[in-house]
Amino acid sequence: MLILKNINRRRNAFTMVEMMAAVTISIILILLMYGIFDKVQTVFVVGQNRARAMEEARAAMDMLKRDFESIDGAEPLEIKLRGRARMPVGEVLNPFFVQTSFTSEDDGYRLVEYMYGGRNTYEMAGLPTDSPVGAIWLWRSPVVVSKSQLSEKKAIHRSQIQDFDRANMGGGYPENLVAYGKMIDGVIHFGVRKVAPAVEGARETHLEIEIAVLDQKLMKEVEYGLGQALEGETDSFKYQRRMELILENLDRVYFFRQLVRLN
Amino acid sequence: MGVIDLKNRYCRAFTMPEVALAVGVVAFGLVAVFSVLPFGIKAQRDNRDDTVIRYEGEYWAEALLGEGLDLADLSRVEMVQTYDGNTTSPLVFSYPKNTPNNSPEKKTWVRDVCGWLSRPASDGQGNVISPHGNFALVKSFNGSLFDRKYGDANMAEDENRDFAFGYILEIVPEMIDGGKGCRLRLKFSWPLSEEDYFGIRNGTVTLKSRSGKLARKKEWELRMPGKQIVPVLWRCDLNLRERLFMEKMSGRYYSGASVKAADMTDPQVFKVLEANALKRFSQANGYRVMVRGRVTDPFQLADQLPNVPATFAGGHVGMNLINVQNGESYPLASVLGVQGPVRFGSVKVPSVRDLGSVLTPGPFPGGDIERFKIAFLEPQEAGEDVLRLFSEEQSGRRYFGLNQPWRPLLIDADGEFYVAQPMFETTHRPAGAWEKVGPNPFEGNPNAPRMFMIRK
Repeated sequence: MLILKNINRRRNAFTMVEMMAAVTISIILILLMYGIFDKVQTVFVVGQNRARAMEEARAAMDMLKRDFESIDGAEPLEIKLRGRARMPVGEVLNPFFVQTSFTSEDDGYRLVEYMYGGRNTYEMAGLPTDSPVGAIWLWRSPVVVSKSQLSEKKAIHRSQIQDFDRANMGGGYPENLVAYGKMIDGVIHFGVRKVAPAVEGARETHLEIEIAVLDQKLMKEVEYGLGQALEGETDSFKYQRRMELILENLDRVYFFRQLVRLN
Repeated sequence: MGVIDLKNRYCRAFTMPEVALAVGVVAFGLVAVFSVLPFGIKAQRDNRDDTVIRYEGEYWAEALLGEGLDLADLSRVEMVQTYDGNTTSPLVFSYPKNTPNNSPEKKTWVRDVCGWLSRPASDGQGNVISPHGNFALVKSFNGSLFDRKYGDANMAEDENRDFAFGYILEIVPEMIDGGKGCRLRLKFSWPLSEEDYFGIRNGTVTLKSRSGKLARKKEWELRMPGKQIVPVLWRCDLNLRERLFMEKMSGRYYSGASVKAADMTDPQVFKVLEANALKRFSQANGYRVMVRGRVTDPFQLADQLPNVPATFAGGHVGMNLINVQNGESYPLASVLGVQGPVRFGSVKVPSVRDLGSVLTPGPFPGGDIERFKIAFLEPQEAGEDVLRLFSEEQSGRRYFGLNQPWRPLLIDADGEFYVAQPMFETTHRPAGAWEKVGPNPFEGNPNAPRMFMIRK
């Protein structure tokens, strides 16, 4: 009597088959959930990358805008073309790069210079020939109270620190560059152009500033991912492949255009 | 007793209801977790959109206060809707995507957009202008290159176009202090669904109704002050002499440079053809002239010139054909070379005809042409006279089709003369009397709404 009761009770526990079925279902569910989480995580990371790229681009754009708004109208604004991309991006952007220098007037005077350069150096000679991706570099002189203090002294100072940089670059310490600071990385387009009203003889009254920036993940894929995959290929082939990858990911490249009134 | 022990031990396994409950709780938790994830992703997207919209706002603010800037990006404005008077249905203007790139409609679209969007609710004199606001359907200027590419006007037929980020912009310019000041309200509404685009494009919904407080539509508003809202100066507001003057001088408005009396006689500004030059050019180019009101040839009809009727009393080309021997002058309607009209003004829009009828019987013959010269000033007129004339109040004069008091072309600041406002080229305006004649007449749109300009 006692033994029979025990046997009956044991039948209420899960059998091996039940357990296996349950485990299998659980594994399927876990895999399914992992898949969903993975997808969500990917979307989230992509979103985060985008947000970060936009944040960086916005910060850079705000800085550019603030500086250009404080241009001293009495002094010349120089805009020099530094180069053009060898391939257009889609049908709407034909990237080009400028170097622009001006005197800023805001609680004093100072010289400001923005230029497009390579990711590791602002020097033209350092611009890579195998990649369309670069950076915007910035130099600001110390603020002085009188414009006369700006002129030659500052230019000489800048040229001295550039010489210093050049000397150091031979030793391979690009991170120690002091003449220009890297403002934003992963840039494929930096344009500044003067805009005039559509009337003959009208003077330019505004500036249009444009930048196009890759998100960090795309930049890594373009620069390092393809760099490894294309090792041994010619520079022009690498350049073309990199540009093609950018073209395939237009939603991960951010373009900002702002209008600034000249003083 | 021993039986009871065993029984208690085996009862500890989970029962089916317990398992079902546990699975239910887990499922509920998972559903809760998964339902939160889209909010995180949506929040990211919303942040991106907010950033873009704020940049759009800053761009628009400068563009509207830019007084007619040549901004290529405004071709991303797909449609503008404004209201005229007390009508409730909007006037709709769409980007002329099917016209050639150098067509006047495309060339002036940018300024037209700013002109329509700057229409105030009333003109400060009690006249209703655009009481329901002005609206634009826009593909964003800023954002990802995907949006840039597919939002471009040239991609109008592409199936991906509506995936590019777009918004409705509502602009309400208000005159304050009797027109001495103004303020602007810019409201952005987004995102736009496929249904929105469909309804807007086929006219079943207006931009006004879509920019209202619809469910799921986000809004952002920007308010800013302006200096003044003034009607833009159209060609049809001016007589031919004023037109020529404004063609040459509109650029001075933006540079802030004054207009000098000496400019009126400066051949670099207003071309002067003296007798010999006129003869030389005439022989080389076969010049023919048309004087006001009648097609004529000064050689064959030289004696009749003083009797030319002033049919077109409203104005003239701005240049005068002057008989240097007797000092008589005849306002010119046109001067032609074999290559086409000789333009003393620089008409930038080729199809907007400036000079009316163009055919004349024949060229100047060698002999008589020496009696004539062509100049901006009349023989007895000084440059200062013209400047004073253009800076005088003209009581009773109104802008074309608008009950708005006329503003002099020049501001007299203690003897220094400055251009009060530039002349705007557009095809969305009525035609002046001179433009309706000739082989390629410009008909214009007699009911075109008046454009305005906001001063910073």
